[in-house]
Amino acid sequence: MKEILVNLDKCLGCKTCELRCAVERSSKSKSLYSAVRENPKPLPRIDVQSIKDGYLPLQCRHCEEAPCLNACPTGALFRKEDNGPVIVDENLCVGCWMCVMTCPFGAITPLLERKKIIKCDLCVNMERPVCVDACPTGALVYCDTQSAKLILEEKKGNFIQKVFSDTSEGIRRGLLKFDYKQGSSS
Amino acid sequence: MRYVIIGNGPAGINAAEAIRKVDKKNQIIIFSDEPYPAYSRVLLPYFIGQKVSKEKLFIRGQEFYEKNDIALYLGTKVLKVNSIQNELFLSNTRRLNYDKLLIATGGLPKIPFIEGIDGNEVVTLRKLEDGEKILSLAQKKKRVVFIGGGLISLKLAEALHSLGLDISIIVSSNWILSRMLDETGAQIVQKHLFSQGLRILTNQNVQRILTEANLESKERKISGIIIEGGKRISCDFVFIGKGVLPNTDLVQGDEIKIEGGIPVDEYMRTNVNNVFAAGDVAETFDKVSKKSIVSAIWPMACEQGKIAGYNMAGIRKSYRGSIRMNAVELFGLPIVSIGLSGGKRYKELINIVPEEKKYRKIVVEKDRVKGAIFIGNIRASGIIAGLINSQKKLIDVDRLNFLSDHLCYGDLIRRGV
Ligand SMILES: Cc1cc2nc3c(=O)[nH]c(=O)nc-3n(C[C@H](O)[C@H](O)[C@H](O)COP(=O)(O)OP(=O)(O)OC[C@H]3O[C@@H](n4cnc5c(N)ncnc54)[C@H](O)[C@@H]3O)c2cc1C
Ligand code: SF4
Ligand code: SF4
Repeated sequence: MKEILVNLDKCLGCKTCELRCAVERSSKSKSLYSAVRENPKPLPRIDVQSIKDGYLPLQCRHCEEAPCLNACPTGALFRKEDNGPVIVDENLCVGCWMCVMTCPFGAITPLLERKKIIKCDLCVNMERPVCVDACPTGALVYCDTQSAKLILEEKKGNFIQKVFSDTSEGIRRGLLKFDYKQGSSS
Repeated sequence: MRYVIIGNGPAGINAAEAIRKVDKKNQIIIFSDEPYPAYSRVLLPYFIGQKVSKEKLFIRGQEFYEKNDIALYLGTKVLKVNSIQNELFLSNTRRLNYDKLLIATGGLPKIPFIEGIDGNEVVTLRKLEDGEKILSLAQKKKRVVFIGGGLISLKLAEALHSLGLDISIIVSSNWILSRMLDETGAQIVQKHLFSQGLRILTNQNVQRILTEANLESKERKISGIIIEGGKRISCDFVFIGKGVLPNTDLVQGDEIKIEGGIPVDEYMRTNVNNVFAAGDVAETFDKVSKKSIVSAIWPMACEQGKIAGYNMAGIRKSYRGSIRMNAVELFGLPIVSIGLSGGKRYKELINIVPEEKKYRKIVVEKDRVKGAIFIGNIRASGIIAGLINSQKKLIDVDRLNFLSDHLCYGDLIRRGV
């Protein structure tokens, strides 16, 4: 299983990932030029948020014990394989908002008009995640669990990772892995 | 060694799946007294409103049971559990022994005592069968009275309204959705429902359901209801939405303890060592109110089922308690309620824009969030649910942007949460 590591030290808050994600993944035209004039506006599935002394590019963390998967009563949210990314089958989503209520990162966006949700799916149907390739600073790193471990062990930078958590603590436990304060910013 | 699971709802299915994850060898049997494969009850109002087809109700197909080597017995009711003999009495007159048992029988609609309530045109909604009955009534009739104004009533009212029925809702409490909302929130929703053409009477009890002789059949048909004070409301059928009761019939008289529901410990185990319970039938600990509650929502049923399954298979996992929460959308207005909806003891952070039908309230006790209501803009409400769930201590709650329209996770980090 692959994941996206985020190196907070490298993120400049330029929002290129948001832009590319919106254009490639949500627009009809797939070109920035026409995408800006589309209605509804294509939405990104990653959100660059400002934090203490930098930026947090946040998309679905594809938590191991994902609370949204428990919450979805229609089967719309699912994984293709154990530990694979959490994805949504739009045809099954009815907009009941149970998942929106349970995602502790606020990473599932309700589209009120369409009664569907939109979220990051790690670009499962593309060769590589668009945002990763778009990021000009290398803040987003796409790698497998093994290499993620190595990168984190090196402790070069403040990383956030896929969240591992047990069911009942949900994502809360996982936040410890959200090594914002711990890493050295060398 | 044999695992038996009574109930093919989310609690039962998740338990079976968890057991199979860690025990590849031993037999797993699931009983359901319904004739259908697993389906989502939550979708029944959508099915009735013809927003979701019947096929889409089903959440697990035959291949799930085959892949996980689970023996599924549909249409077979477990009549009685004898936990001393480890034995079940089945509706097909057979008996069956178990080593580990999970009771995941869900809930049953509460039926108040009202004259005339046992009539044929008085309906509830729990099973697909009920859904089909309501749908067929809706196609023949014009006016319906709802007794009770909770989530299921209102979701069904929306569906029946979309089919063109005339709807009156009689609520005994002071406002609708009384288990989810405070008065202010409920007023916004109520106004919204009025504007769609729903009739809602609060603080009213139904005294009698009226019937009259029917020319077409022997059975009398419903003509209306009488509320306290004698006012009459005409209707062709009646829906009862007064909440659910844990379905504990099959353990009555057994050693297994029953209180509000079947109380369980952190491993989802009942007072009997090899018997577990999960979902709408189980009574668990509420992290916010610190009381024992029957949570009766889908996410908790899944989670409890999983925990029960692991523990049945010998993997120790503990359940850290429930929180009361629910989400619903009514005529385009999204509503989320988590934990407590308010109270004198608490500090309440409030943002309200009635003309936009927007309301947000965060209920705080000292340095912890105890509850929240979101109406209109529910984006990122899960962040608050996360804080309520973890009961994390916060510094300077007022400075956290909880009331912002753009509530986001980065804000929490920025404020050192
Ligand atoms: C109309 C409706 C709308 C809802 N909307 C929401 C919502 O928006 N959000 C939300 O979170 N929740 C909602 N719920 C609640 C949700 O459906 C339940 O919390 C959930 O289904 C509970 O799962 P469970 O596995 O405990 O029980 P159930 O799903 O009730 O399953 C119980 C199973 O046990 C079987 N059974 C019962 N007794 C026996 C017996 N004696 N022998 C054999 N089998 C037996 C039944 O056939 C069934 O298979 C809604 C419920 C309804 C009815
Ligand atoms: S909004 Fe859609 S994806 Fe989310 S829980 Fe409801 S049906 Fe599932
Ligand atoms: S992985 Fe794909 S869907 Fe997810 S944020 Fe990046 S570009 Fe968007």
